[in-house]
Amino acid sequence: MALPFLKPSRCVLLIGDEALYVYNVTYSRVRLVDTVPWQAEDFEDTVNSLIKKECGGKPVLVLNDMTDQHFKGGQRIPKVGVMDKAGVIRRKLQVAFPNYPIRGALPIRFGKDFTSPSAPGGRQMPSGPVYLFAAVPMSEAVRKTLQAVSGSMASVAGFCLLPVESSDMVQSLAEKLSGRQKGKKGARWVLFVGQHQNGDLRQVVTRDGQLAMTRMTSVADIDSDPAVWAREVHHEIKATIGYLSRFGYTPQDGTDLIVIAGGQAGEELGKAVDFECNYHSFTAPEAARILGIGIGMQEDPRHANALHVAWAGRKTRFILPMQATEIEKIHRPRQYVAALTFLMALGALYAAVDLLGQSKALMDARGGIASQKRVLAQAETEYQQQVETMKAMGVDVRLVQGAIKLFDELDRRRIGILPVVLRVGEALGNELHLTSLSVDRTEKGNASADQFGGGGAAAAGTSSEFAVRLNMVFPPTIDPAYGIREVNDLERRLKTLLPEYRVRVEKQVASPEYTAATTGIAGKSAGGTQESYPAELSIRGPVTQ
Amino acid sequence: MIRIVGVKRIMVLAVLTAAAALLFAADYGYLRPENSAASAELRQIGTQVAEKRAESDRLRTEAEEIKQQQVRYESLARAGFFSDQNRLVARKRIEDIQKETGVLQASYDIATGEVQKDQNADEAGYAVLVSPIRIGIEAMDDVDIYNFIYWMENSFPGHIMLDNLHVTKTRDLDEVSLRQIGAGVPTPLIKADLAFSWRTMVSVEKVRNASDNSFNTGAE
Repeated sequence: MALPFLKPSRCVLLIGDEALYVYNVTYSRVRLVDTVPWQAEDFEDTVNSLIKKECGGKPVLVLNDMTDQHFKGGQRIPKVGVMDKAGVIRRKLQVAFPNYPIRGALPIRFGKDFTSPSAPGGRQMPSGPVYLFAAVPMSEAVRKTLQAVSGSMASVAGFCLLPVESSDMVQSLAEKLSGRQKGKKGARWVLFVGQHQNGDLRQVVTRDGQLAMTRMTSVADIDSDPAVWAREVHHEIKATIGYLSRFGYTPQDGTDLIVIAGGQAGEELGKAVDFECNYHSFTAPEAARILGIGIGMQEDPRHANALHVAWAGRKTRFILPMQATEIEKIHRPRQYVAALTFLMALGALYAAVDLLGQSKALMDARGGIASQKRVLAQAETEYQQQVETMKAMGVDVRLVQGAIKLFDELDRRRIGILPVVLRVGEALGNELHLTSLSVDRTEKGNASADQFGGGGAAAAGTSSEFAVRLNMVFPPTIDPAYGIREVNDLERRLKTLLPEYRVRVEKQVASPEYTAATTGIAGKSAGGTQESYPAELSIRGPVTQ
Repeated sequence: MIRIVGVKRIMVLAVLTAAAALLFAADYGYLRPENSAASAELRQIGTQVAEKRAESDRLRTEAEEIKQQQVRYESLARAGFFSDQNRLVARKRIEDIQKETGVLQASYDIATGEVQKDQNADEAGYAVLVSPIRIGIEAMDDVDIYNFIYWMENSFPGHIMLDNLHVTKTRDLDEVSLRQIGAGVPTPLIKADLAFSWRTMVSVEKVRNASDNSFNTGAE
């Protein structure tokens, strides 16, 4: 639902047969500014002045309510592409109304239960798109009106036909009255009757919400006797019903009859209606209330002009905007300029907003720069203080750290031999003596020794080790079994004292293996076997413990 | 055309067009470039601030560490870790250790020093000077030899690392040797060969100056 104050506010020029009615339509009310007869001197200047001064130069909607309106229904257009459609319709319109330069075409929608009176079976769905063609002659009244609009410099909102633009109002009114929701099935026919200020009676008939027929006839003045007025109006309604039978009207389809009239006249007419229908009678403000539109206080609420004008004047999209060269001449340039003006305004607005944003960003950035410069100065001061502190310490940071790191690294690769030798001494005890002891750095893994004599092993993913070899010799006089036992005992003691190292007997006493070299003297003269019994043990472990 | 459109509309359009052009020109011709330059400057200063703060933090951390490490560094300096391996000092120190430990004889051979690259030393503008030392010892008791190793490792200037050791009993303690010992004749019973690596840190400048004379700087 659109907000009321967003609806267009326009100047509506209602073209009647005798005069031009100038209305000022705002979102809340409709005001008849003036009625200018066609024969009035300075007609154009007067209307021009009314549009400018009384209506504030608002966009102008020209609403044609003349008798001289021409319609041709059921105009079938051959199936063509979207690009060619407008051209085909234009040509068909020209053929249909060669003498009427103001033309328009309205596509007709057909409901599921569409019946055609011309079809033998009563039901026939058209194969191609069907249009209602409408045209208006370029009468003197229309020409004068357009010239006045042109001179006013107001933009042209459109040139429309009152019965066409009011057809949806009629449908909406009928739906609201019957309490139906849109799209739900109800009376197919709605007949709207209203007398205009000039005394003419305008009848608008819709079928399934679309304009089916319209008539404009003269009847008795509304101020005359209500019974007489009702009789004449009833006569016209009956004539209309008679015409409608040509369009397939049957009472069974259901009919809503809505009349804009005064209370007594409406009642009289209600009594006079003698065909089956849902009869409703209202004044124009009452109908406006039902429609939910405001028309304000009206001089004579029995006239329907204001209702039509209010409905059509607030439309954002017209049902059938009429087209003509004369109108286009005024409308197009103003439309282009208006569009260009809108675009420029939009561009200027965008540029202004962006300019503001950029200005703010620039100010923020400059503020940030000033702030960051202060922070930088502080950081610089802090840094200088730290440098001074370091200088005051009188040391070279890298030298101190590098030296300690290097020394510690070297220390980790130092062979801790003295604790091992101490434990070996304990293990030997008083009885056993070594003939030699050797210590060598070995590499566990396949890394070669580095610049620090094997210290690079850690970096290469291997660990540096050292091996201690203990050699001892047992005299030839001992029983070899005793020697073997002593060596084994020594190995066991070493393992106990040096649990973190690997202790192993490399050469056992009187070793019978073929790998062992054996020397000695055998024979009587030699006094028995003179061979001594060497033995060897090894201790292996990492250099750092 | 003007008659149909109207002077007022044309004027409004012209004013709006001029305003839009002016605003766009000001926006794209001045403000946006200025903004870009200011943003770039702001980022640059921000980076400088971050770098300077990081540098300050690093110095602060280092100062704390240095305070703790300085004592050890001074101890290393006193222990001769930054000496240029003066041979006279080394000879004197070996003689002192020989006397202290009571080994009968300690014959030594200090080879020419070699300069070795090391990342820790490099960063401080120093190099590692390595001199192999071979010492042959004769002693009556192997305990004296181990004492000798202990004092070498703990009192020699710089860093000493034992590379290998070979201790051999050269003579049994028999009647003759006991008599000689009793008569005060130095009687070696144990012989040992020791190999050490002597390392100190020397400044690259000092190495460069001395490279023509004492040090072989070609070693890597």
